[in-house]
Amino acid sequence: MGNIFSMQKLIKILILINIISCISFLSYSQNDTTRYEVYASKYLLGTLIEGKVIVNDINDGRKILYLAFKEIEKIDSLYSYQNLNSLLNRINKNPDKEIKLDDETYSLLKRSKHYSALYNGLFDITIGKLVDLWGFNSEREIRIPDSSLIKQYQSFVDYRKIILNDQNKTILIRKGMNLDLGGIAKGYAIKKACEIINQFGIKDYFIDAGGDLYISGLNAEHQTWHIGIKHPRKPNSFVASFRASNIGVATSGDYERYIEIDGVRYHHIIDPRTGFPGNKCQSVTVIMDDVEQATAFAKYIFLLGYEGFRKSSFSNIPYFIIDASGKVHYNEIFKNNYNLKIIEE
Amino acid sequence: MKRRDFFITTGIIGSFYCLRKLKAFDYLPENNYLSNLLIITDDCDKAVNLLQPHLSKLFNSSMEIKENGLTGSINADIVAVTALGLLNYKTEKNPIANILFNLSKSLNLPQKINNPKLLSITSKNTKQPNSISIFSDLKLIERIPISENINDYKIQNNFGELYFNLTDRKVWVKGSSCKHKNCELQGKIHNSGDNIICIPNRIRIEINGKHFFDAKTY
Repeated sequence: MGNIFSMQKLIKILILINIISCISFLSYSQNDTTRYEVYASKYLLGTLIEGKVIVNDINDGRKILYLAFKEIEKIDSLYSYQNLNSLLNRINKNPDKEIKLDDETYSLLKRSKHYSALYNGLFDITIGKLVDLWGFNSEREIRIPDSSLIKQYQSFVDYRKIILNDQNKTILIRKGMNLDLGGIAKGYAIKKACEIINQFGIKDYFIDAGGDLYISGLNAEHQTWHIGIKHPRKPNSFVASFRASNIGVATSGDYERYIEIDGVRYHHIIDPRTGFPGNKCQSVTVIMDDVEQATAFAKYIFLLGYEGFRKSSFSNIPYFIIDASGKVHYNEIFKNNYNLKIIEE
Repeated sequence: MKRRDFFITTGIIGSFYCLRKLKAFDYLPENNYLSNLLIITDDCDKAVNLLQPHLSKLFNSSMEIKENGLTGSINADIVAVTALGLLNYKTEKNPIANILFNLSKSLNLPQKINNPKLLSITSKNTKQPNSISIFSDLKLIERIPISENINDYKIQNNFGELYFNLTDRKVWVKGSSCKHKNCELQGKIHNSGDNIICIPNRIRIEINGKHFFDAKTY
């Protein structure tokens, strides 16, 4: 009897050891999967586009990034202001004429006009010619334009004068007006590239278009992505960092494209109200689900300034603002939800 | 355009990070594992396929793999570096040298090729920056040890030209033919992963090494 009991006990112990071994083996096998970060970059849409996917096979990652970049190339050929043969520039070269658009372009322009209205014209896609006048949209030297010219070019900026025909899917712009999709095109390109990556079931990746980005899933070390916010006055330093996943991030700043004349900084974000670069902020970073909208929103806050923004109905969106005096402002949502850490003020 | 051609002709940069720390040869002394592996080839797809199963055996830490287009006709080969110095995979007898020897045979290296690409695998244990990479129109044109001091290094391409200095392990642009001068305004860079990018001239100077952040917003 005692022997049988001992035998049953021994069998139970052996089964238990077996189960533990299986669990250990399975967990080891799972952890043993090597993950690779595959990275690619290319100059498109007037900036450096970077992408990173985390995959189990390097060549799979290369293939996925190739397709994502092909999509961005397509968007560059359609909506880049710098690309003289783009569809956007075909519209700009044909004022006072109804231009028939494909569904995708029509929808993008419709959303752009919507953002222009939502953000009270501080974000305005008809600003192309005014930005050109300063030399920011081209390879020309940047200089302060003649004030009478600024006034003249300001009169061309008015998104309300874009005529979009929902029935025929056409657009008509006024003579003198130039559309510049700027940040929106970058945000849209990021979105489309993400769609491609998602089609392959890849969860962990990011696409970065000149500092505006969408981050998905976790980084290769199974942590939320660690993002640095560049310091607007110390070129190779970071003012803060945060951790995030599955969101869009956009930053507008006065430090990437600028010149200084007599101690005054003139940068590329032109205020349609004055015709001059905005002077209320040094840098604005926002976090939104939709990276395309985030790019427009960051520009809006940049021109509105912190004081105006905190009174607005949008102040519950995670923000990190450095005002013109260099003072840092951020909300609790940014701090608590994204593990914001100030590095250097 | 075929995918393979896209990677080659556009000079797209690939960078792959192997993240698991797996010691395949626990009996090898620490210094025998690779700190840097350079493979010049015209068939990156094949090289990656052949290399990937062995990566965790060659490095005893996580690693970064970059892929860059090169210019001109070049003698393709493998260069392997350990903490002890250059590893001659053709003459030395150890598990790592054997893997590299077999890899070179499969890739028919060394041989002269016309459409060269560089697969550069660096141990991510290397915390201090040790070199800078210079890219012109997305093609890697030179790597220079960061310990060198250079004045007025000139980079010229179809878009324009740029001069930079490298002194005291810091890099800065002295002059550029571009109109906006953002590259000059960027000042001195010295941290691993820092870049100076001149978009009008399609020129980039990077300090090699592990990036502190996954991404940057600006």
